[in-house]
Amino acid sequence: MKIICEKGFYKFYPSSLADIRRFFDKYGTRLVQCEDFYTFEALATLPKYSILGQSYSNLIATKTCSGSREEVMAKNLLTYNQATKSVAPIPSVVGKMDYSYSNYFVMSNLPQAFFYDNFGIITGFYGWANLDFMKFNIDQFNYY
Amino acid sequence: MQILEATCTAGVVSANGGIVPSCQILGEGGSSLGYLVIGDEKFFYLPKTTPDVKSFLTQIETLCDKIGALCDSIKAITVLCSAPASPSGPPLNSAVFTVAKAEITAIKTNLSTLKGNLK
Repeated sequence: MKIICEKGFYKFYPSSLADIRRFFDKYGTRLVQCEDFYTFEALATLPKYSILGQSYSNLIATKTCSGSREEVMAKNLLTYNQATKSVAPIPSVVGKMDYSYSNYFVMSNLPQAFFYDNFGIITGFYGWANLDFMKFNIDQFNYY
Repeated sequence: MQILEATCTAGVVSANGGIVPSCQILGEGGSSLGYLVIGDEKFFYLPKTTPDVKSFLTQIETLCDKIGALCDSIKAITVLCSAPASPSGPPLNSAVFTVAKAEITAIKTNLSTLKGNLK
C-alpha cells in the first residue's frame, strides 16, 4: 500500500480494500476514504479552510486561509499525531525517527511527521507499507 | 478558494458561527448578508446587493402606485363656492391629498434609510 505524507497529512493508496482491513488489524486505526485516497478519520473531516480564532479540528485556527487540507494544516502549524489519533500543534509532536537503512528506510511503525533524524525535522515522506511483514519502507523523507 | 455565507454588522464580518478578524469588506460597509471569500491566504467579504436593489424597486413601484392614485384624486376634485364668482373652498376630497402626502413622505424616508445602509 503506497503511503504519502505531506506536511503531516497522511494519504494511503491501497491496492485493495483488504489492505485497509489489514492495516486496521495491525494498528487498530481505521482509515477512511477521502477523495481518491484513504486517510485517518481525523484528517478526512478537516475543512479546506480555516478562520483565525475559530475552531479547526478542536483547536483554534491561527490563520484565515484556504487550500488543500495539508496546506491549511501546515499554515496553522498543525500535524496529525499518531499517538493521540488527532490533529495537534507541530511543537507538541517531538521524537526521533527510528529506522534502519538498506536500499530504503525500513521502519516497524508508520513514521510520525515532524519527528527528527540526523538530517533534520521530517515534514513528510514517500513510501509503502509491506502489510505481509508489517514494515514501512520509505523511499524519501522530506525535511524543512 | 472557499466561499462561505457571511454577515456584516457595523463593519464586523461573521461567518461559520464566529467573527472573521481583519476581513476586508468590498462594499460600502453597511449591515448586510453576503459571502466570505477565502483564497489561499487572502480573504474578503462580498455583500449581496440584490436585496437592496429589490427593496429599492419595491419602493419605486409603491411610489408609482401612489402617484397614479393621486392623479385619479386630482381628476375627482370638486370644490364648493359660497356664491357665484366667489373663491372656492378646499376640495371635498382634500383628505385624500393629506394621506397621499404622508404616504409619499414615508416612502422618501424608506429610500433615505436604504441609501444610508448601502452595502
